[in-house]
Amino acid sequence: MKISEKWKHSLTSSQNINLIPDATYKKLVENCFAVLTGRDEIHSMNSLYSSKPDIVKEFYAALLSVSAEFVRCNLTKEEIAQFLTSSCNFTQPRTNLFVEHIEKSRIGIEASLLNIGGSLPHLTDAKWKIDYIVKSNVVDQPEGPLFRVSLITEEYDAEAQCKKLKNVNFTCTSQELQDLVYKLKDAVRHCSTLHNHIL
Amino acid sequence: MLISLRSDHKEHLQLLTTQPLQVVVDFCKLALDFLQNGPNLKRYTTAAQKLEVDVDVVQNCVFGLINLLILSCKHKLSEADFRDSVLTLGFSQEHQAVLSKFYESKQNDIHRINHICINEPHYEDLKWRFEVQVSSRSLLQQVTPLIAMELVLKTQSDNGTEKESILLQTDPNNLLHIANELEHALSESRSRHSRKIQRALTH
Repeated sequence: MKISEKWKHSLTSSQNINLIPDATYKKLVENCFAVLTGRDEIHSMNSLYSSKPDIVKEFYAALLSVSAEFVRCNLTKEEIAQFLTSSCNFTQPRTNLFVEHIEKSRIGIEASLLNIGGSLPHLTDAKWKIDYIVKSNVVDQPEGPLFRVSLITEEYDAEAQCKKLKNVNFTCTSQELQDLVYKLKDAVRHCSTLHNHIL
Repeated sequence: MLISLRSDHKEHLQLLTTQPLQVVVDFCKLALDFLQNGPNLKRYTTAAQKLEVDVDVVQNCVFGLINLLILSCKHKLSEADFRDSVLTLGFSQEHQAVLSKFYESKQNDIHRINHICINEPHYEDLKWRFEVQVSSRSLLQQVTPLIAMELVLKTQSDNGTEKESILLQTDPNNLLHIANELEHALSESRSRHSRKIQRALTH
């Protein structure tokens, strides 16, 4: 686990109740996990900056960083509690509140972390339509069916820092679609036998 | 069904109707050569000298044969229809036998070329492999099943066929969904509604 001394220092020095009251702490924790799971902040940050906005900001930044790091390294509840109380001087109630929140959001944060990175475009859906060619400039006879398939993929765009949808379009004849379906089903079959095998 | 040719097209083919069988066979060979390698003026000149006609006449005759072939393919003439069409043009029975053989041998090739008149990416192949992602920079411990796929698409263009490989991945849930969705498309194409439309179009 990589948690710099700077973050530890920020977390430790903010334990003074005069600097960050318990109510503010609770709201900051709620905001922190909302952001990490990809939702909007629940409380307006401006309302949380008391007379010491710099300290609140610093603490909030540290909170976000260490929370992500905890999940990234897959730390258990106990390890997190241990770290906060011994290395950052968190009081027991504050530690408990944090641990309770992180456990609730763990899966969400894992999903967000999983989505970061330059993986291949991820296939999520397929659209199709069936066409018949009635006539063309070179052939007078009807032909078909012709399948027009559009595979919808999601890709993480590093520049925009969000997911982008992209379509892969192609056509195929009955036989070719049969071939494609057969191959996909083969992969599905493989997944399910593997699944049964593990269970 | 008989095909009707333009009068100049008929004129171009007239040369052959009066020639002996061997000449018709040779012209079919010239036409085959044209299909494979494009026009060959040298051979046309030799043929013109032998028949004692202009090079233009020979060339037009070869082009006429090709055009006849393309038109017949366009209308998907059956063997009997092709025979009748050729006989109406004034060819003898023997000539017709040679031309029918010529049509029969090249029919599939022409259909294949005509099939792809509008160039769009066409499915060619799909390769897949099953993998498990166990770690990444942003999440050190994980077990994420993934199916990586390579989709090969082929596009016909003037310079030949272009193949394009697209790398994709998906998870088992989405894979099942997509396989089901495409299978649905396939079964829909065999449904009563689709068959009814198919029948209506072909008759």
